[in-house]
Amino acid sequence: MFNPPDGIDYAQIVVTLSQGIIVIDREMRILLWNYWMEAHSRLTREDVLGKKIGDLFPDLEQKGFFWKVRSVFTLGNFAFFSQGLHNYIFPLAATRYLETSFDKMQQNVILAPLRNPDGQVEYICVSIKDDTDAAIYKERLEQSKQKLEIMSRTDPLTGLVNRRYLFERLQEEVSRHKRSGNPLSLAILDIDFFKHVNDTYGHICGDKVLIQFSELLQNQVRRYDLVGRYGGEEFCVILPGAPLAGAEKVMNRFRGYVEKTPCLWEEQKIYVTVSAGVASSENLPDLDLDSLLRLADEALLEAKGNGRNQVRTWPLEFKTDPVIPLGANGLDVMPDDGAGMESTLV
Amino acid sequence: MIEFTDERHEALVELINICFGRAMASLAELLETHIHLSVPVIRSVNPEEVIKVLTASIEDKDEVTIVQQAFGGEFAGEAVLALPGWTSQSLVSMLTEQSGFTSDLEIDKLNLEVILEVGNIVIGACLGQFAELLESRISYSPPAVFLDRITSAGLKERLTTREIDALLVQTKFSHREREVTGYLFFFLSQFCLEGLFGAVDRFIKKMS
Repeated sequence: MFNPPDGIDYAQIVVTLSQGIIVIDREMRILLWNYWMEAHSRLTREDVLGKKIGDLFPDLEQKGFFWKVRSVFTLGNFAFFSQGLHNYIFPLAATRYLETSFDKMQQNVILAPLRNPDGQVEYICVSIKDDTDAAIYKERLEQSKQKLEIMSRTDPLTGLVNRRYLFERLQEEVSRHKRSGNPLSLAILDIDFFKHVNDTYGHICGDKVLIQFSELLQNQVRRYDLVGRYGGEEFCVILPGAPLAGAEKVMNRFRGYVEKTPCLWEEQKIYVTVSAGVASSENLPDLDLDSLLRLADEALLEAKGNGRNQVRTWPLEFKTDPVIPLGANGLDVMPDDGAGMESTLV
Repeated sequence: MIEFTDERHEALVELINICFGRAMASLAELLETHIHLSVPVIRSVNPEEVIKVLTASIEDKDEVTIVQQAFGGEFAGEAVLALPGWTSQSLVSMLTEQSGFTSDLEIDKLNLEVILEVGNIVIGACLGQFAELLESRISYSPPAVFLDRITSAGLKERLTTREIDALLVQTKFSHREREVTGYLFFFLSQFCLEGLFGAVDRFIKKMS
């Protein structure tokens, strides 16, 4: 195979390689231990040569090391321990101390067969590569990826999921409904006359109303429902497993809470109301994402057109009794008890 | 397409049959249980066909676990062990209960480790015998494992990026007691075919 060119001492290469090289025989005795191993294990050749590797590193057994050694002797193949799965095989101290959570050197370890002139595997060469830097980068990359993933699906103002993620999940729920046949409902909600809040109290107040509304909505739905911000003052709730009547009930209860729960702003109580449209898989034999959204939106328009502060379901002929809105424009501003300040909106 | 003479094709089938026979014997010794490798089918394919072959061999299962391992030396190429679905549980019990494999890894990592190791030893046993018969040496890259839908673009990309025709050696791997079946593919790169043909010719000479 490889014949050393004149003047090159192979043993020197092995000994000076900047990775760990150990050679063991069938009795698991150490026959070769290079400089790198001396430096990183703090064990000299005199300490280890002729000793059993398992006596020096008792954890090797439970790491499957000897099983793999046996496989290399039996099959003549290579065996691998990846850093990703094992972190390390030999407990050597990490050489980087800053910016790392690893106290042990992260390693990729390879077992390779060494054959005698007859072609039989007589020894095994264990090579150990320091993979700590790569492991640190991998870890950091994973952290940034997670952060970005959360950011990419979150609406920064309300903390609810954003429209993109909402649609992704809705598509998944539609697919799940098709497989399982379990009902699936979707509600679209719109805060009534929200523009008035912004125009009258300013956008910071408007933001506060949106945040409070989001919290209220999040607390009113079931744990497995998904609430997302659809657009400006429009929100969506995906209700997996909920039939139309159930979803309508949840939305109506929420509508009642919104109506009664003021948002405090500069010593004033600002009341808003909400209109909602609900569509469900029940009335849609060939359900898809677009039709579910469109029909929930139609129901919402019906709720808006019919006086607001109410929940409408699709199909539209199953109307419930209209709820009489509190104020003509659905937005009431009540003076705070202590402050006695009054204002009205037209 | 890679062209073969009938004589070379026959010799190669014979060679690989011998390899697989020996590989099964050494795997049985290591695993203390029998793994069966069916009579291999050998043919020349282009990368596009690889997915078709894989789809057909995995039958009705949608997901496939793939262990991929590159090897080099006089014969260079890539070996793929494809297991329908996520059969790790059966493999874990095969390796730990029957074959004495020990590991302190937590369950998710253990599943991956076992799949990698099964891929590694099955691929290594077959190729090792092949190299030995042809008096050649092979070195291996660490195996990689992934689970994907057979129809996914990612899988297609992973398996068909090579722009060269390949020699496909296809066999069914099965372990009856644990009801594990899989398919083993060796893609031998065209670049090493000269070497392979040379070695096959030497083998023919030796046999006759």
